[in-house]
Amino acid sequence: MLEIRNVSKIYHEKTGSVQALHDVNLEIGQGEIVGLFGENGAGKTTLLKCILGFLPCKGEILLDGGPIDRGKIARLSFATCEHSFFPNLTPLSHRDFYRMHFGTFRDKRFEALMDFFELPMRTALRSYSAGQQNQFEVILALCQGADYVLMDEPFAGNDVFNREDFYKVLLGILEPEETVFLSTHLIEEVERFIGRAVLLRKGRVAGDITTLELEEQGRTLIDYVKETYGYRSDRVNRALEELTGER
Amino acid sequence: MTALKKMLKEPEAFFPPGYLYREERTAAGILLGTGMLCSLRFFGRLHVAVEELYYVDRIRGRTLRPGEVADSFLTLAGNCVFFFLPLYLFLAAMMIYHYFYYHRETKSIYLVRRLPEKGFLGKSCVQMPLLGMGAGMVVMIVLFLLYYGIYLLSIPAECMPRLW
Repeated sequence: MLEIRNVSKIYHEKTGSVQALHDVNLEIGQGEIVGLFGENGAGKTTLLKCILGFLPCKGEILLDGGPIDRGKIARLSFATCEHSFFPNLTPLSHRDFYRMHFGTFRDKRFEALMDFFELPMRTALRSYSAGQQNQFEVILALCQGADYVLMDEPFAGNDVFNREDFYKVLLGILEPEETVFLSTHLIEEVERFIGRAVLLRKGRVAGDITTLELEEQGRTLIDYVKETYGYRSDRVNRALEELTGER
Repeated sequence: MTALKKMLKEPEAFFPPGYLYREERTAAGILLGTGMLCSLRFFGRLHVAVEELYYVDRIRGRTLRPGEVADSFLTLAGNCVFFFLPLYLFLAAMMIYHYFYYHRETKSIYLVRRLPEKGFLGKSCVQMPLLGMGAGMVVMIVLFLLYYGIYLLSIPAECMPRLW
């Protein structure tokens, strides 16, 4: 169980302080596939970075009741749109590096995924296309052997078919105890693949609902998001009318 | 010895993963070589110091000046240390450069910061520059010992200063 208790984060900048997270409380059980949604600047990336210990924050982040120290850090993996691989190394070298550092590295899964996405094993990653680099980033996160796979906009730049393939593969290969915490803007696309949606707004948890609950209520995820965000669909029309002077 | 073998066989293991180290190694080698070459100035200074101990007598030829004391070894060779300073400064800068390597092109810092191995980040940044500094130090000490031996052989015993 990943517990986020009263987590707050303030960025101190020259122009002033920005509160990126306000008392965020979440519990993510093992085996869940959770989507993390929110507008730009809502605090999604900050929250993931706080969980991974990249950013200091107030509050507590616990994994199975204890802090995420060096002994537990390997239970979390991370795929980011910024990419965290070494661009000069080949996938084979990455495999060796991961094997050396993460005893739980999943060799078979690695080879199967590399094969499925037809990624060359002996080419330096800097020579990959942006889409291939995204795929590789996610493959590494999935093959580390972590219990909790954190992803931050991992498919930015991939085409829709590719993303669709990935979601399917993801669902197919994940074992029951593997947890995915996926931050993305692609709400409608991931709706079918997640079991729960967490909405962040201005650093606060604005919504937390399972897809089963949504189904029971007869609502779609995008409707839920729009409602939670108070999205006014007539806003654009009104603005256009004002701009064009049409009545 | 095993570490030295590994360093020669797999130097990349002592740098951050994927780091293109050849240019850095070449630059360090050039700075070390330059330091060694510059230190050869010791021989010029030694030559002058030895010549100052003698005068030329018409009858006896080259004769030791009575009571003349040679310059100390440190006076002659001490400034050789400064010739190695660029190497040390370069290697110190490389430690910082290695850290920023993890932020270039990708954010591989996110990977190294979540490795279970304690101190991997720091080790990968400093170990090769420290080894380079150590190697530079060894070369400097060997040169000093060699130069000191030559100094002892070149300066007559009666002209030897009491202290360096």
